[in-house]
Amino acid sequence: MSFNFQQLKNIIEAVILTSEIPVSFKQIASLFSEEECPSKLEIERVILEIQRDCDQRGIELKKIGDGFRFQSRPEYSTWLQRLSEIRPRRYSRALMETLSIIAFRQPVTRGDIENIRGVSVSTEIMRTLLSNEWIEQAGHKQVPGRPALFRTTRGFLEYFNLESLDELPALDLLERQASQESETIEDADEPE
Amino acid sequence: MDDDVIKFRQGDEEKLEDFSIPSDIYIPADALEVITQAFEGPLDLLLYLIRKNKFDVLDIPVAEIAEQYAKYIDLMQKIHLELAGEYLAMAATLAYIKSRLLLPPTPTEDEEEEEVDPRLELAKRLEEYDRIRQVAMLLESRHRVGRDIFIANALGPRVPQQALIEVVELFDLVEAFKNVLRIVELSAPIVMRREPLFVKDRVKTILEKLQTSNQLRFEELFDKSEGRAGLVITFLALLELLNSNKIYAAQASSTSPIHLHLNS
Repeated sequence: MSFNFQQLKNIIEAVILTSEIPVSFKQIASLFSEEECPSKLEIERVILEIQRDCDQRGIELKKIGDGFRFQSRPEYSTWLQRLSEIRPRRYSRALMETLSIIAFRQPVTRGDIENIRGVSVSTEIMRTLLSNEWIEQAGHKQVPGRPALFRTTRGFLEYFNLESLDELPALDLLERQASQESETIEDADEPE
Repeated sequence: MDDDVIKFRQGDEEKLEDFSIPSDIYIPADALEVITQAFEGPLDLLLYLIRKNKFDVLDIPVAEIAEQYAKYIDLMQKIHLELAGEYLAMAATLAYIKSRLLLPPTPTEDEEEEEVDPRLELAKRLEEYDRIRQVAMLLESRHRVGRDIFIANALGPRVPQQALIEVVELFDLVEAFKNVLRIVELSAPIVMRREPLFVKDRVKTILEKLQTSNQLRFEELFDKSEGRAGLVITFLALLELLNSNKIYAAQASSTSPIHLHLNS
């Protein structure tokens, strides 16, 4: 049998709401038997419909990585924070810069990070990033000393509310700026 | 020199706030500390100086920047700040670039190889660092879980995922087979018969037994030859007696035998 739209919507809504981690299209599809399995298009329509339903609500359905999760709207954080007993941690600029380098130049070694920031990487920062599961080791660079390579994780996207790394528009934009500027560099090489 | 510090503090306040440095460090006595806390390294300090002077990163007047940079380093050293080696290395780099710019271009054997601006590499590093700085600021401004957004999650059925992927040993299989045998046994037809035993009678017998021997071990109460039904009746009678406080049960420790006594 197959489901009508409303049934399908209810099932998918319940699945996403009761999951502890974002639920992907693939996971949704895997819940149905072969004959009842909705097409990707149908799932997409359901997701859109649920998202539209949330327009008037305090929660929204957000895509994180390749999955979906329900989350509160940021404009209600003031009240929700009062409910939460854990005060959100503050992170230093050094940590955010280190994380940014890993996010945009991954996979990178500690040496790469040091080169870009111009200062040595503190072990404490790396430990925090690893224990928060924002970064993970991704093998070793095949150079003398075989230094460990690091990359960001899905947990990084989840924590910073990102659908993907591309959602930080800065990279594209900055890259383009940079390439334009490096052209100007070559032009400026002429002695004045 | 002091003016410089003040100027920096005011001009850079916004930048500092982006990275949530507590505002209470702005008291004048700690002003110098602010400098090192505010800069994330030599590249950051250089970028700050370049911006302050409205210079172009790609066309740095190295002599001027090197001089200003050295001033800051001096200042930091004067107040006995433990200066990271990287700051000094950068001072050396700036001095080197300055000297390269003063020298006439070295004649190259290869005609095609053009003289590269000695500032180019530094400019590239500054740009790369600046890019990362901006990304970090962007990341800093993102909504975060547990601060700006909270996950809406209703607890659904939880299947312990790990239990499903544990390796099954031969022993587990034998155990599982024993269960199958037990199920077969249990599902054998049961012949129902009227039970000639009554709890009331059993209560009496237990009381009599206890009156003669004063104390009894739990196991001694049961007569195995009576079969399952008899054992259950005895147990029920025992519970009845305990409940009505006619007897009490005691044991020396949680693993030692249970003894039954009459309540006087």
